[in-house]
Amino acid sequence: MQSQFFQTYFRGLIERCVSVTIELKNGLQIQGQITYVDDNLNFNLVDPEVSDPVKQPQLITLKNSFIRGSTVKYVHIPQEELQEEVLISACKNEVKKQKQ
Amino acid sequence: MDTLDEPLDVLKFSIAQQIYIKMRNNIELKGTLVSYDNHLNMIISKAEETSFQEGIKTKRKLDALYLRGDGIILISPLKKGITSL
Repeated sequence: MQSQFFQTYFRGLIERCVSVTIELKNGLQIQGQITYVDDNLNFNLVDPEVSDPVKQPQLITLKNSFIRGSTVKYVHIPQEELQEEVLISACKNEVKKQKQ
Repeated sequence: MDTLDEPLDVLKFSIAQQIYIKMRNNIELKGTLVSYDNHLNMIISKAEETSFQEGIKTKRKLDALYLRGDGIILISPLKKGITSL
């Protein structure tokens, strides 16, 4: 399975303008629309909204943010935007391809 | 074809099945594996997170999530009946 698999998937989310919540390893949750994702799964978010502005007041005014991939714990994706069947068959194909 | 040749095949056989994941910082996840890669990055659907912090157990129902693989300690398919922890 190539690591580009998830990059391609996130590119699809960018095209469909899906709003996601990125949860970092330190517990900070940032909601926004992904505008860019690279090989290392670093993200760019526009209009990021912090889940707990009381704790992180310095982040309220952000217009744009770059999130380093290694600090990400989860990316919450809305269940209806997941495209579960497509992903499952794509993943099975990738595994098969790699075995050959 | 359906033989367990390498460790990651556990994940291969668990696609579209329930799995249990133990992560760093006393976090446990259960959910349906949708896809994964060699870094153990995964997409889990209908996930449920249990975290144990300072003796307090908190459960969170999450939607679908992409999970970065670097925090993972162990993965186990739930199909063969792992007891709930």
